[in-house]
Amino acid sequence: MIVAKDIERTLVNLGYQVSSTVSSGKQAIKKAKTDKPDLILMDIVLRGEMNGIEAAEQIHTRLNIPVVYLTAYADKKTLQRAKITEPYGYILKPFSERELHSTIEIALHKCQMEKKIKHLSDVLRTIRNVNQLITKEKNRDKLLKGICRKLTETRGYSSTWIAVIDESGKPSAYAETGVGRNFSHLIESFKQGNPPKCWEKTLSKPGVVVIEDTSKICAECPLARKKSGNRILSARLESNNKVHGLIIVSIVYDSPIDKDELSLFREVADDVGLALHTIKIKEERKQALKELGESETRLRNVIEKNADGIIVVDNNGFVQFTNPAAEKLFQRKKERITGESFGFPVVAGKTTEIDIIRKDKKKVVAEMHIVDIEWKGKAAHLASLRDITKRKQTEKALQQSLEKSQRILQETVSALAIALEKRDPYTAGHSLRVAQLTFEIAKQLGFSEKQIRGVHMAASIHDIGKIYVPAEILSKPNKLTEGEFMLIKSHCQVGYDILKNIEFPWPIAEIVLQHHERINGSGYPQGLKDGDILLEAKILCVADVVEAMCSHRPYRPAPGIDKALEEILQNKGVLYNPDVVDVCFYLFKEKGFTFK
Amino acid sequence: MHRLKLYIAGSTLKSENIIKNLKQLLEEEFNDQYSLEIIDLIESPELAEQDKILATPTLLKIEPLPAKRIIGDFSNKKMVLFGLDLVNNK
Repeated sequence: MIVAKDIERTLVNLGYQVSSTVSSGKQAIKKAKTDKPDLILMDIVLRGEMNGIEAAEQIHTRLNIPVVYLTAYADKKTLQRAKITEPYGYILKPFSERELHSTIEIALHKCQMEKKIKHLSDVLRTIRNVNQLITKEKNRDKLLKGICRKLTETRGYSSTWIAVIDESGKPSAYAETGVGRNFSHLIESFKQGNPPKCWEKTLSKPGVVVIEDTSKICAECPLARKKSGNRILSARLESNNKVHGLIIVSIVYDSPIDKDELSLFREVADDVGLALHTIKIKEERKQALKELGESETRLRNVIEKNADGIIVVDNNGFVQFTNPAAEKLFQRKKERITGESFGFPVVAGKTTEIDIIRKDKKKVVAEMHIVDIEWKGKAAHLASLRDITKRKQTEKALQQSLEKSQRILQETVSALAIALEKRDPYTAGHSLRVAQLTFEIAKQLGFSEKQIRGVHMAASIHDIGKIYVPAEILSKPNKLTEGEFMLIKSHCQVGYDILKNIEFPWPIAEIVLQHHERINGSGYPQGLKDGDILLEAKILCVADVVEAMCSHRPYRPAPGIDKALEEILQNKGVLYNPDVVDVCFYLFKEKGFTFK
Repeated sequence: MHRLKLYIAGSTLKSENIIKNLKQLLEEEFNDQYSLEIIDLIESPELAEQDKILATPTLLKIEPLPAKRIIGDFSNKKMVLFGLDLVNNK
């Protein structure tokens, strides 16, 4: 004890603080626990059962406090036993003050260095752990949580907090360890736009923000424990000139934050920033792919569910795609259409009618519409096929009913013509013969089939108005009085009146009305001139004159065809249309036309 | 010599027109240096299956090679010759 007191005095003189001086191994361990001294000077021979070496061993393994032996023993065996406890020095009694001083200084320095090395290895391990996690974990939230845990576990931060912000600067994801129940409160204040000042500062500039004394400025912050040595480090997480969020840690540190700690934190922040950037890009790409897939599905649905058959044909005419409606149309499974040769679609107009040959050999009429498209990077043709079989059938039925009604009309008109002929036996057959000649002239003039039918019908009933004229006048053998002639002349107007309300597909009533007009305006009933007379009426006029001159009348014999042709030639371009006259002349002279 | 096959479905006014127009086109283009076989699939339905004809009117160019198949409206001469790959083969 006397030696111990001497040593204590010497140590105080040298400027050290002595927290305790004890005489047994048990007490030494107890004091080491409570005092946490920087160094312990230990004698090997102690009071009680435990010797100094045993006590040092426990202090070393449990508390990691450096021990320097101070003893008179120096035999080989004792030294060997002491060595196992990894002492920082060994001083043999008796010793000088200088010897004690230098041994203590060396021990303290060695201890400092070891702590630094351990610290550095912790730092490196932390970085490695974080990087391992970044390469392994692709889920952002799991990654952030993992990083928080690793930092707290490996580096010994008392709490770690990571926030991810979106484009507008609002927090979008969080992770923490060690913050505890105040975490939600923190997030709420962040969301409300009232983050702690240090966060705003962190987000506003690159680099690490250090708060060495949290007791003053972080009074309200749950991250800052009111414990001595608590410090806060924060840095924004950035990559490619974009700020993705921030990381904040609190650490208990007994001296100002050293540069290793700062560079560790900086590196972790950079790594997390890059990881967030990578994940974001991957998510954006995934989203883009998903959207692309969705729009493709939508388009596919439009095609799949289209009521029209759709096939895509390549430039060689081979089918590349078949939709369900086309399967139905062709009555074949798409596997039996796709890959087959449909033929290169050649079209002239907007749509083309084709006949689809079904498996059952029945044909379906389809309207084909072609659009040039690109299919799998090559030029192709999309043929949309609409089944128009029913439409065709309806059209055909309609056509048939139209034809039928026209036939009935024709028959009705013929009946009228016959009725007229019966009434006036002297001109019997006149109308039919005029119709015959009219038909041929119209044909020669290049009239359409429909126009020919119209002018023929008009000719066959051109004198229908004579029903109004008493039969005695029509068959009167002598010259007619002016009154009688007036009555006969009225047959054009009467015929018009009879026919005007019947819906013909041709201007039958007008033709009948005008068949006594002459191109110089000398005709009746309206005295129309060339341009106002229908061509059909001009034909009918010539045919009427020619036939009449070839027939007997009660009041005269037939002048004959030569006289008739002479008459029309003489008045060609005066009374009669020159083209009609030429054609009529040609028919009789060249084509050998005769009345039946 | 150009060898062609035309597939039609039934002798209708429509198919008669197609044949008439096609013959005129071939006449103009190749004089008498062509043969056109006309196959009515209503008369010989088994040929539809055998020659794998999905629809009519289909025109097949057998010679000169390569064989070509076109379908649709053959009234546009340019389009027909293009489809048959005969544009530079005049």
